[in-house]
Amino acid sequence: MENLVISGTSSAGNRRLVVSLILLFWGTVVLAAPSLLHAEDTPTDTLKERLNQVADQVGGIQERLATDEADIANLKKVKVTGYVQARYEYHDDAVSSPKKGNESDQSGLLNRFFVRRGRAKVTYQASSNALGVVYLDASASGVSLKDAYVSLTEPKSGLAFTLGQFNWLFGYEVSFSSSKREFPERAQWSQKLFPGERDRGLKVERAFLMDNKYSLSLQAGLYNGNGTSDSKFGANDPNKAKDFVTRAAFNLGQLDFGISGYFGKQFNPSDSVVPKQQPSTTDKVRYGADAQFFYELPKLGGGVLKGEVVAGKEPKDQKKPFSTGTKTRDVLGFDAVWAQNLSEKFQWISRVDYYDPDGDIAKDQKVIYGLGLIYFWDGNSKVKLIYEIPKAAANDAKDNMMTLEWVYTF
Amino acid sequence: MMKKTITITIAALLLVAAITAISLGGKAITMKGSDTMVILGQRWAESYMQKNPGMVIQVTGGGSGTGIAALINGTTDICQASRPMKPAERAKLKERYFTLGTEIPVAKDGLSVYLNDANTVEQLTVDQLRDIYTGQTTNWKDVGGQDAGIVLYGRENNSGTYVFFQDNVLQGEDFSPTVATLPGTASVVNAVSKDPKGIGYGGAAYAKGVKFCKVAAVAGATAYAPSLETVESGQYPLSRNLFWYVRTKPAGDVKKLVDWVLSPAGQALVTEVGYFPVKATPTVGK
Repeated sequence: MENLVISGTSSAGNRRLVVSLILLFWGTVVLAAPSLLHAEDTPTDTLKERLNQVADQVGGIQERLATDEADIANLKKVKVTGYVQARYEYHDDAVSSPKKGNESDQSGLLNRFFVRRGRAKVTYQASSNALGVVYLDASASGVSLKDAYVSLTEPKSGLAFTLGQFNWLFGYEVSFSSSKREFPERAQWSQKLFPGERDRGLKVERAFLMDNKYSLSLQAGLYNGNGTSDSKFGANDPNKAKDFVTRAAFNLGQLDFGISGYFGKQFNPSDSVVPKQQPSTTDKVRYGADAQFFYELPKLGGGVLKGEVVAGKEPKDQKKPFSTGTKTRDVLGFDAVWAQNLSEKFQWISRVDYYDPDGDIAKDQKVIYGLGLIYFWDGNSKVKLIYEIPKAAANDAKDNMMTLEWVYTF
Repeated sequence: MMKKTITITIAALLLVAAITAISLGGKAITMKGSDTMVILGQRWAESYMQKNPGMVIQVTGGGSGTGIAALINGTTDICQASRPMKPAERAKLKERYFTLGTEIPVAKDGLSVYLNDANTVEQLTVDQLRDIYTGQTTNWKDVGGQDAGIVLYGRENNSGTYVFFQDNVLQGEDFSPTVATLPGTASVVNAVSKDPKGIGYGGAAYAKGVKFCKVAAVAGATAYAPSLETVESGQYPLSRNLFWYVRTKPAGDVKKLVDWVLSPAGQALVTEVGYFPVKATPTVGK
C-alpha cells in the first residue's frame, strides 16, 4: 500500500485515497459477511430450525392441555340434573270462573295450564366415598329446598352415612322420582302419610351385590318426624323423640320386593278450636310391603306389575276432640300399577289407588282408578295423557280428571 | 257429553297411533358401542348386507359405556360392549323398558398388553401390571427391563376395555394420573409403536407394529400370550367375552342377524378380524 502512488497527485492526497480504499474494502466485507455466512445455510438447517419452532409450540400446547385436562377432571365431578313437568289439567267439576262476590275461593278453578315441578339437582362427588347434593324445586308456589345432604361412605365396611334433608326411606313409591313415575301424583297413602316425601335426619345404608346381578339393600334412619312441609313447626322438631325408619329391599332380577317399618311419635299441639284438648304425644307406626314383577311379551316388549300396601296407626284428627282412650286411628292404603310397553315409543298405564284414613269411620274410603298412555318422544322427554276416576265411598263427587303432561329430564 | 267425546276421541287416536307404531317395521338396524368391536361389527354388517339386500346396518363406536347409554335411551338397537353391563345400568334399563336386557356373547378376546418392539421386557405378572398402571412401579428396570421411565397409555373411562382392565388387573384401584388416555385401541397401539418406553392395553386384533407382552396370572406361573388356544382354554389370564346387548329377547330382523353372527359364517369373520370365536346361545336376563 505504501508503494501505491497515483501520478499527478500529492502525497497527502494519496494517503487520503489509500485510507478511503481501505475503509471501503472493510466496509464491504462487513456488509457482505451475513450474506456470505447464510449462503452456507443448507435446507437441512432451515428444516431443523423450523422443527425446533414446532417442537416449542407443541410443548406449549401440551402444557395448556395438561391444565385444561385438570380443569375438566374437576368439572366432571359436578353433575347437574333435573326435570320439568308441565301440565294441562281438566276436572269434570271445574268452574269456568270464581263465584260472584267470592273471588278468593279458587278451589274450583281446575281447568288450567301450569308447571307442576321444575327441579334442579347439583351433585358434587370429589371421590367415590363422599358426595354433596343440593336439590331445588321451582313451581308456581315458589322455590323450595328438596334435598340437601352430605353422604360419606366408609370404604372397608361399605356403609354409607347420610346427614341432612332427604327422602324418607320408607317403601317403594315415596322415594321413586316424580320424573319416572307413571301417574301424575303419588298414591293417596303416600301423599297423606308422607307429605313432601322428605324430612331431616341421619341414615345409614349398605348394599350387598350378588353375582353382579342380584342385590340386597338395608337401610335405617332417624328423622325429626314432622317432614319439610310442617306449617306450624317448620324446621324444628316439636318433640325430642326421633322417628326410626327402616327398609330391606331385594332385587332378584324379574322380581323386586321390600319391607319397611316406621316407628315414631307425633306431637299434637293444643288447638284453639277445641280448647279442652291438651297437647299430647301419640304413636305413629306404619308397616309397608311392596313388590314389582317384570316380564316380557312377544312383539310388545316389557311390562311391570307393581303393588304396595301400607298399614299403621296415626294420631286422630286434631280438629275433633279425642275420644276417651282413643287417640290414634288405623290407616290402610294400597296401590297397584300395571304398565305395559306397546312398542319402543308407547306405553299403556293403569292404576288402582285405595286409601282408608280411619278404620273406625265407615265410608271415608276413596278409590282412584287411573288409565293412560305415555309416548316417549326421545331419551329425555315423554308425553302423558291420563284419565283418573276418583270414587269416594260416600258423597262421591263428579271429579274425574284428565291430565296432559310433558316431562323433560336432563 | 262433549267433554267425554273429546276425551274418548283423543284416547282412540292415540291407540291407533300405538297400533300403527307396532305394525310398522323398519329394515334398518343400528349398532353402537365398543371401539374394540367396531371393526368386527363393520365386517359383520358388510357381509350380512351383501347376503341380505335391502337390509341396512349402521355401525358406530364411541365406547361400551356410550353404547349402553344409547341402548337405555333407545337410540340404538344393538349395543356392542367389551365388558358386562353394570348393575346400575341394568337397573336403568329395567326402569325404562321393564326388561333385564339380553346379553349375547358374540366373540372372545384376550385383552392384550402391548410393548414396543425395542423393549427388552417379554412378560409381566398381573400384579406387576397393576403396580405399573397404578403408578407404584415407574421404571422398566424394576420389572427386568432397561433403566428407563415407564410411559403409560390407556383408554378413556367410557371404554369397556378401560373398565375390564380396572376391574381385572387393578382390582378396582384408580389408574395412575400419568396415564395418557387415548380414544381408541388403534391410537394406543400407534403410541406404543412409536415409544420404546411405552406400554398399553387393548383388544388382541389391533396389535400391529408392537409386540404382545406375555402375562402370568401370578409370580412363578407360566406366562402366556393371547392366542386361540390360550384364550379358549383360559390359560391367558385376561380373557374376556365380547358382547351384544339388546333390550328385549331378539326378534325379527335382529334375531336373524344374531343367529347369523353366531353361525359358522359369522364366527369365521371373528377369526379374520383377529379375535376368537365363541359358541354361545342368548341368555335372558344375564
